[in-house]
Amino acid sequence: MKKILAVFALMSLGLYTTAQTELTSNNLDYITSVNLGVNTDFNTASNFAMSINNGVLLRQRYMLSLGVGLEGNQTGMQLPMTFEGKYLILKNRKKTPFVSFTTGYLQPLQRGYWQRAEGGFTAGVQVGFQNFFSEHVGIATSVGFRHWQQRTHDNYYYYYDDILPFSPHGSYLYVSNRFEVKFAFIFK
Amino acid sequence: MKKILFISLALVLFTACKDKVFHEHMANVPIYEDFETFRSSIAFESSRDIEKQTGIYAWNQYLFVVEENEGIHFINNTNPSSPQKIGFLNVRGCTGLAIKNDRLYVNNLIDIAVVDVSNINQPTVISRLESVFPQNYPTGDNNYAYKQPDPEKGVVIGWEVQQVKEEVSQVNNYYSFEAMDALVSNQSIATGGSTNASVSGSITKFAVINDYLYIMNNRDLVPINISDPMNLVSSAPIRIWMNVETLFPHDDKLYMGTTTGMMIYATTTPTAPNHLGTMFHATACDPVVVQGDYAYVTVRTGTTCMGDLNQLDVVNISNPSNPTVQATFQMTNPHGLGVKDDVLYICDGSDGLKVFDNTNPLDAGNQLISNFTSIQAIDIIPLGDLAIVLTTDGVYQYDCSDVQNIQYLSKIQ
Repeated sequence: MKKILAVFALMSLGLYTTAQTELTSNNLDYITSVNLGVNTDFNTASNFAMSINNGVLLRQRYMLSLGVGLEGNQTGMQLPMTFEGKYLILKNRKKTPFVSFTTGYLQPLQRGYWQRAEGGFTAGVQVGFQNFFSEHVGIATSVGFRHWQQRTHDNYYYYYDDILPFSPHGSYLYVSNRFEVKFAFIFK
Repeated sequence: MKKILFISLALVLFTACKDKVFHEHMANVPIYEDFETFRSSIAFESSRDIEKQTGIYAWNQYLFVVEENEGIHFINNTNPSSPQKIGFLNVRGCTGLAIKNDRLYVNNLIDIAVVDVSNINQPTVISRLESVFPQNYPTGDNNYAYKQPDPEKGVVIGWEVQQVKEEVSQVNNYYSFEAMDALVSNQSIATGGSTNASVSGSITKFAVINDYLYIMNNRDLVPINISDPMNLVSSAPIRIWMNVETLFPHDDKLYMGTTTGMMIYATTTPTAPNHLGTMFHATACDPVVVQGDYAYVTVRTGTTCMGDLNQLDVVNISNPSNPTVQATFQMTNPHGLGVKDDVLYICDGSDGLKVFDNTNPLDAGNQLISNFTSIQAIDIIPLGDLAIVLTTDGVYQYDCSDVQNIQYLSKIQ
């Protein structure tokens, strides 16, 4: 877990360094966004989510970023480590709609008493609108679709008086498809 | 156009919004056989070795050894010193039998089959009571859950352990193995109170009293009228509130060995036996036999029996509404038992067969006559001067005409 975080931090740092170097070219801006959101299946399941993404804005149109965050899903609290690609529909505009795609890995943060979760997969698409109301600060809102897949196993494999070398109960695959709303502060 | 596409996409995505859980696990998946093939599958074959013996029965000069879920060994025991195997009746799901008036009744998974044994060399199926136990299935690998069969697909003749994936509403952290137990039947048959009827060991779940065959099917006692073997008629099952392991018929009563005690049911109304009384004990396995005013109950521990008792209880049943334990004797790991006149036989697991003087039932456990420790006895039929003992490696027969000097006669493997 620590290694994953360290690698991720180093990758983010690399992007940051590159962004600083290229900032003057006017073709590459460094972007940080702080995202708050909620996802729901319109039924019983709803969870909050937050993340921080660091990335670059290429040619004022393509935003690529890596993010870490905290969010809940069916199996408990997760640390999502994601890659996001965003396409700004209107080039060189402070106000522009956008579409984005997110994919990444879920690191479970909770260990249930009966079940333990493996690392999972997430992906999503969003459409939204962003508005830079100053040179360096903006906001964005978006709605979209989010998908999770995560597997859990039993912690204990007891069968009568014996301890089995396998789980007779197998594993559970959690699949979530939810509607997601996000609000973000963007810093350039 | 773009708006329409966007709205369509949004609708598709949002209507797909639902959390799902899929349970992926290894499970016993049913193997089906169509009804016609299944019901023509009983066949009489040449004799073979006894391998998975679970019950023993005697009728006239013949012995029948049930091979669990496989079939029945037919043995000519005219000369107990040299019994001869006749053949093997292949019956899927067979766990017991009863014979009355040349008709052999055997459970064949979901059916009861009636076999004409008037010519012992050519047994023939003459009728069936179909689908009387629609949820009786063969045993699978109990390390895994069982996938619910679809009765429309035919008869479940076996299970195959496979990886399955099924959507579940929620995760169950506890798995009820009772559900598994309910899927897998384990029955055998005994008879009593009948003429020209077979005699069984004590570990049985079927019993015959007069014209009725009583079957303990999971938690239900099912009466079946066998007065017309060509047209068996089953009555409504009676739910038994304890976990019955053995049935023993005596006079017009059924004695049930359960995991928590012994129950007595009257069959005054054959189609609807009624509860008379119960003797409770700690959780354990306990076959029961009856003679006179006493029931003899062995209580044992084991993997599936749980508990920590290994003993023989002598129960006064002169008042069936209030059976009371009058004597208890420590045993090693008692299984089946038999009683005949003044002799009590206990199959005491690794301690072998124990023979007791039963002149005084309340002191029987202290009056050991002999102990055959070289065999691991499972069940016994005391029949005339013979003791026919089912063991883990075959059937042993002893001459008990002189109980003080019991003589080994033969072994059938």
